[in-house]
Amino acid sequence: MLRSLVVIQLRGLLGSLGGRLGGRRKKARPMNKVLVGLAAIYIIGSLGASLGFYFHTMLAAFAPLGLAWFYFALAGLTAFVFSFLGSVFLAQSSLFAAKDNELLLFLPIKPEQILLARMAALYLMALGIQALVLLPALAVWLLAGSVNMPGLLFFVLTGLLLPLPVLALSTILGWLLSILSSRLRRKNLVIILLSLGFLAAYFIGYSRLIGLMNELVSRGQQLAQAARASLPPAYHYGLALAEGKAASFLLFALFCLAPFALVMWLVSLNYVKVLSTRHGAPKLVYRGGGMAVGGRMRALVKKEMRRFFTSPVYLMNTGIGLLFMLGLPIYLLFDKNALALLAQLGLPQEWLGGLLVLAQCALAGSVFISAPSISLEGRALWIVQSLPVRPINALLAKAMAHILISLPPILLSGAALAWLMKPGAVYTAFLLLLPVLVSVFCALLGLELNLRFPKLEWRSETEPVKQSMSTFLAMSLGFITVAALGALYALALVRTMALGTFLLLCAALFALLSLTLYLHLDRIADRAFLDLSEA
Amino acid sequence: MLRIENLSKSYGDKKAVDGLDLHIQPGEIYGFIGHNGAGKTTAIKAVCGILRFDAGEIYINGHSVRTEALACKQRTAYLPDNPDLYEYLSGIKYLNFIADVFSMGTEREERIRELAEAFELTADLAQPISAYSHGMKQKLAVISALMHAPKLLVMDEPFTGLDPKASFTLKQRMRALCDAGGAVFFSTHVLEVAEKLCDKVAIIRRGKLVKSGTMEEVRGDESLEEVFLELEADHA
Repeated sequence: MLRSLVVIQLRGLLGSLGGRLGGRRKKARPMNKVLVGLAAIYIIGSLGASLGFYFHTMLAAFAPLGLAWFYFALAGLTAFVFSFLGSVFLAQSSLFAAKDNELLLFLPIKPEQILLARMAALYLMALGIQALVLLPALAVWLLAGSVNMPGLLFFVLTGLLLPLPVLALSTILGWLLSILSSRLRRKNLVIILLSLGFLAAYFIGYSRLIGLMNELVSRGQQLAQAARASLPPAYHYGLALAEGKAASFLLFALFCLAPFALVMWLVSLNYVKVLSTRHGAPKLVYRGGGMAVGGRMRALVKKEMRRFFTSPVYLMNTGIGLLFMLGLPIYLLFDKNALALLAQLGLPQEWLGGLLVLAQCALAGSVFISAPSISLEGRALWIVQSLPVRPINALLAKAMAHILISLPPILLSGAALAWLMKPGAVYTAFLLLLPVLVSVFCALLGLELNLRFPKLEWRSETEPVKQSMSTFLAMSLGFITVAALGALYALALVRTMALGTFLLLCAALFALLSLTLYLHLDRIADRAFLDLSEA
Repeated sequence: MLRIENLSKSYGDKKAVDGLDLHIQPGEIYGFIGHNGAGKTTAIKAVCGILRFDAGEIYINGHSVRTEALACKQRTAYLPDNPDLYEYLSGIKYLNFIADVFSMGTEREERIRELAEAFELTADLAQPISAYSHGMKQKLAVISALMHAPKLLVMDEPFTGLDPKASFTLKQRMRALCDAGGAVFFSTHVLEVAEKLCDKVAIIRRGKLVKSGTMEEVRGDESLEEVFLELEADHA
C-alpha cells in the first residue's frame, strides 16, 4: 500500500513537468522532449556556473587556512537554505491542503502511510534542489585535487540525510501555516504577507551576498570558529566530508534523523485531526447585491484577475517580477550608494536610459501570469468550454488579465525611474512602451506554451504554477529573449547602431512576435480548446 | 430541439459512442440510460460542444454543434456529473459571471433571487464556493444552468448530491422548462426517476443505442428496470 502511494506521489511530481498526466495520456511530441531537455540544460547550467564561482572563491580562501571543513559546512548550509525555501510552501500545500486528502482518508490506509508517501515526494524534491547546490561544490573540490575516498562516501550518505532536517522544519512551518490559515477569513492575505516576508529576507540576504563573501574570505578563521561553536551539525558535516571522519558522520546523521523522527511522530499523531478539522472563519450571510451587469469579455477578464489575486501561490510565483519592478525605484530612491555607484560609472545619459529600459523589460519578461492560467482551470474547465464564448476570447481574457495586472506596475515604475534618473524624453518613452510590449508578448507566449503543456489534473495549485513545463519555459523564454537582445546589442551592434534605433527595432520585434502569436492562437484556438478535454 | 445523427467518438481503439441517433422534440424530457462506461457522458459532452467527435452531426434548434457552436451554446445549459466550480468565487459572483456571459440584463437579480430561494441557497450566496458542500455546489450549478432560461437543458446525473427537496424542485423546473417549449436531455442511473419523469428514454450499451422511444414503447407491460436488465443480458 505504502509503495503504491509513494508511486502515485512520485508520478504526480515527475509527471507535472511533462504536462499530460492522468486521463487519456498522449505521447510526448519530439519537440516537447527537446524543449524539456533544453530547459534542464539551462537551469542546471546557469545555476551550476554561478554556484561553481561562489564555491571556487570559498575554497580558494579556506583551503590554505586548513578550513576545508568550513568550505563544506558552507556548501551544506547553502543547500539547506535553498531546499528549505523551495519546499516550505509546497510542504504546506501537499501535506495539509492536498485535494485528495479526504479521498485517501476515506480509504483503508493508515494516516502515517499517507504522510510518509507525501514526505517521499517532498524528500525527492529537496534532494534534487540540494544536488543542484552540492554537486558544483563537489566538482570544485575534486578539481582542486583534494580527493579522499571516505569523504566521497560520506558526501553521498550525508547528501541522502541532508533533506531530512529541511523536511522537519518545513513540515512544522507548513503545519503552523495550515492552522493559521484555517482560522482566518483573509487567509490568502496572510499567506501573501508571509511569502513577501520570506522573499524580502531572501533578497536582503542575496543583495548582501557579495559583502558576505568578502567577509567570509577576510574573516574566515574567526567565522569558522564561531560556526564550530554554534552550529555543530554544520561543523560535523564539514569534517566528515573534508577529512572523512566517521564519528563526525555519525553525529551528523543523528542531527538529521532525530528532528525528522520527532516531527514525523508529532505530525502523525495529529495528522487525521489536522486534515479533518475545519475551523473555518465566521459564515458570511448573503444580504443582496453583487449583481452588477457587465459584458462578456469583461466578465472573463475579471474572473481571471480574481483567480490571480485570491491565490497566494499564483500571485507570488508568477507576478514576482512586478513586485521587483515596483521595488526598483524605491530601492534607488533610498539606497544612496546605488545612485552614487551609477554616477561613478560615468555612463552617458543614453546608456543609462538603455540600462533602465533593459532592466524593466527583463522584469516584465519574468512575469508569467498567463502561463499556468489554462492549467488552473483544472476540473472546472467544462464551465468556460460549455459557455457561449469563442475559445480565442476565453484565451485572450487570460492574456488580457496578464497585461492589465502588469500595466500599472510597469507604468508606475517607469514613470518613477524617469523622474529619478532623468534619462531624457526618448528613453522615458521607451521606458514606458517597451516593457508593455514585452508584457503583451509574454502574455501570448504563456498561453501558447500552456496549450502545448496543459496540466489540468492537479491536487494543489502549486503543481500547475510551480512544477509545470509551461510556466518554467514562459518564465525562462521571456527573460532570455530580453537578455539575448541586450547581449546582441552590447556585443555586436554597439558600434554600428544607435541605441535608440536598436530599441525601436526591439519594439517592432516584440510587436511582430506578439502579432504572430496572436494569429497562431486565433488559428488553433477552436481545436486546441476542445483538445484540452482529452488532455 | 436536439438531433443527434450517427454520432461516433473513439478514445484510441475504444469506441465510446458508435453511430448514435437520437431526436428530442420541444416539450420532451428525454432520459438517457446505460451502465457505467456505456458512453452517456461522452455523448452528453459532445452535445454540449466540449468534446470533439469523430463522425456524425449534432443539431440544436437547427444549428450544428460542429460549425455553429456559439449559437448552440447560447441556447443550451449543461450540468456535469461532478459540479467542479470556480472555488475562488463566492456563489453570487459565480452566478453574476454566468449572467454576464449570457448577456443577461438587470432581470438577473429577480431570476437569481427566485431560483436561490427555490433551492434554499440564498443565505449561502456570499460564501466562497470552496466552503460549499457537494450538494450546495450542485444546487449552485443547477441555478446557473436554469437562470438564463435555456431552450435545451443537458444534465449528467443531475440528482446526485441533491437533497429530496432540491430534487423535487429540480424535477418541477425541468417540467416547467419543457412546458415553456424547451427540452431536457439527462442521464441517470436511477431508473425509477426516469420512469416517473421522462417522456422518452434511450438505452445505450457499449456506445450503441439499443432501444429508444416513449416510456410505453420501451417498457411495454414491464418496469423500466426489468427492460433494462433484459437488454443488458441480451447484449452481454
